[in-house]
Amino acid sequence: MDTEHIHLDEFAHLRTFFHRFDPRAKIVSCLVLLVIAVSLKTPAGLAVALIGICLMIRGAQLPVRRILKRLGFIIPVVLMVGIFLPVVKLGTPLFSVDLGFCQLNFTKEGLQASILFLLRITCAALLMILLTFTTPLHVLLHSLSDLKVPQIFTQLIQFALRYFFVLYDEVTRMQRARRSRNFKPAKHIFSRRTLSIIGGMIGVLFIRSYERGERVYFAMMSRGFRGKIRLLDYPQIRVKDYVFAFLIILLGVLSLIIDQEGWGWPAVWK
Amino acid sequence: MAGCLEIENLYFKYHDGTLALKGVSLSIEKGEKVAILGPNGAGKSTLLLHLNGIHLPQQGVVRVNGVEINSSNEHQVRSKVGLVFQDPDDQVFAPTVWDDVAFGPLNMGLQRQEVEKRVADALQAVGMWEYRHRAPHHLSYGQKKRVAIAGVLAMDPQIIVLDEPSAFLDPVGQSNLVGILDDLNKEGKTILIATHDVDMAAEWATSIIVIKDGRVLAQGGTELLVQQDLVEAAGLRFPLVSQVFRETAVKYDLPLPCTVEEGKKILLKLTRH
Repeated sequence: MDTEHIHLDEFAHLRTFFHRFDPRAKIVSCLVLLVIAVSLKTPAGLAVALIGICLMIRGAQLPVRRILKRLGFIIPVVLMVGIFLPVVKLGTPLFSVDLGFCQLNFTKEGLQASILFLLRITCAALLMILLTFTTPLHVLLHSLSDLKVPQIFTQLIQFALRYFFVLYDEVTRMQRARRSRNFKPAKHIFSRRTLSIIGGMIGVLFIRSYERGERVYFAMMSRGFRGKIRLLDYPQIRVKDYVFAFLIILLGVLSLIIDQEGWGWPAVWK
Repeated sequence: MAGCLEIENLYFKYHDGTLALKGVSLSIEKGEKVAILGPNGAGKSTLLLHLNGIHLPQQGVVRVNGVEINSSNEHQVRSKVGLVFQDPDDQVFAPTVWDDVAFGPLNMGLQRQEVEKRVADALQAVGMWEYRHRAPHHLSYGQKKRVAIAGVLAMDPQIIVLDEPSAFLDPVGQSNLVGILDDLNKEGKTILIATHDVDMAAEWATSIIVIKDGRVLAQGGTELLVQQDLVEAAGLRFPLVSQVFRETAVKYDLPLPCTVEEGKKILLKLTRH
């Protein structure tokens, strides 16, 4: 309606190779790489994975600024763990802080662990950003169904996304209507009147959604819905897609080998 | 002659005990343009949900092409009678316009080629083909409405039923809608709308059904819309054109016009004197 809606997949229309990459092959290979990346134990292995992922992002022509912005979501998690880990992990103390009742030791091992954690979570987040930025959301959900993910999950996501905006508009309109009758929320949250008005609004929203749910279901039945959403099959996966998926998994394997110090041929690296 | 849609003595009671329909009987011929009029809460929407078997009759009979709707054929009926809901946000749920219009044909178990052809035809019929890759929540209200109509057209029903089709549409949207409905009617489809819009009913419909409190008050031509007692009983009003010419028609002993065209003719006739 009149509100600015968020586009979740704003770069999905670009047409680089990564965008044309079959979504099913893309999902599977990215997931494999993700699992490998988060299980790596040395900075060297993680660095290889990270460089590989960055190269893929470069290839997909995604704007760096938007990626960094999206990456911002992980900062709170990283900060929390980054401060916490060096303190709780036992090992050689680097420095300590005296709090009076106890002494906090920042250990070298803990610091290393938090650096590893930072690298892992960056790898994982970048991969997911790459996947969602290069695949339109409905294609992603359709592919998940193709990959035998139960429809209950994909449908939940699909309906949530579709009706989030409808609800969002409804809330905006209700807020505007309240404001136009001079409603001002109290300064603190414990005002009885403010609470009861906001509570009432949530209740109305709930009932409206419930009723809408019923109408949506009737409308679906009217068009012959019988419990399962049928989808057109996607075309066959091409050889190119297999090759590219294989390369992505190979990146994972490579970083795993380096991580394990080459499984007996570390001389090459040392 | 048997109508393509017949309802006999239909009753319907909601879970909370509200009796929404109290013995509705009506008959609609093939190729007609029918407007069902009545005040809020008259039972219009409940009646419409019976036409394609979403609600099955608790008492009474609904027949489509002479076949009674029951739980064993309700699914086949849905591809014969297409129902367009009032709020397109209730109906258009898929992530893209194309997917939404393909929903019905896919449920009918059609093959890919046929599905693609039907989606293209339906979207072109409502002028939304250029928007096929768009997400519904980025469309305007009128556009969503057209997508909702396309979603039903793609199932190629013989009868198309629309609940309050002109509600919330701007004037251009309304005249587009009337154009779409007339085109469909020319292709031989029977069209039924439930509406409050007396002027639209007067201009567009060939047959009028007036309902109130779960009963049919009258069924007939557009002349029903200027029957004083009926219009008052049903909580409606005269079409604007009829209101304008009411006294004039009595004075010069002319039939009371319902449509703008009829009104224009009377004006020309009178000014020529």
